[in-house]
Amino acid sequence: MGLKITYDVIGYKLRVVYHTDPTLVNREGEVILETEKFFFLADQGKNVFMISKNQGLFEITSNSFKFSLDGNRMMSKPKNRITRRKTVELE
Amino acid sequence: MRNELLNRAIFLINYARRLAESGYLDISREVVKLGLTYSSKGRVRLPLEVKRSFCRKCYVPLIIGKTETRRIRRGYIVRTCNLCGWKRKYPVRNLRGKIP
Repeated sequence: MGLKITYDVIGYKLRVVYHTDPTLVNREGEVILETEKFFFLADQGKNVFMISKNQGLFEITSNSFKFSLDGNRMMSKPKNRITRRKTVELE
Repeated sequence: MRNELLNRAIFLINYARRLAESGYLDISREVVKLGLTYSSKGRVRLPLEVKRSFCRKCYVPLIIGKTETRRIRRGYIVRTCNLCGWKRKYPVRNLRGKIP
């Protein structure tokens, strides 16, 4: 089951579950910026690092929910993701 | 849908302010631009206090002492962006309580 994201994930906590770069696995932080191909995360030590979206599985956490995210499905600019009509796609 | 876009745009601009207070000025600019893109694409009007919380030229959140300077000159409040030099004047009488 998956949910199509219509906006961005700025402000949420993100954890890398799987990535082709093994040094990035299990890294977590708060998303401070999202671009077309990268997430910019800030960890607790206020260090900012970039993570490429493709070939990665991420876990988004908020106060009320937690779900997994495939990076390949998010390879788009956040401003191009919004539409006039609300789209919810469940797989 | 428009309500959601408006709420998301306001959240992003307020979040950018927190980022600027932490020192991430360049990233906060991009977040402000994204919030403005949401409001223009969804054709929603931002509240006045939100529109006046960032520099119109360089999109950096205006924080007194850090990115903004305020002076009162001849009955006007003059706000100056410390980074790009953009200025805006507001008459002291007709503020409507809308300057953050």
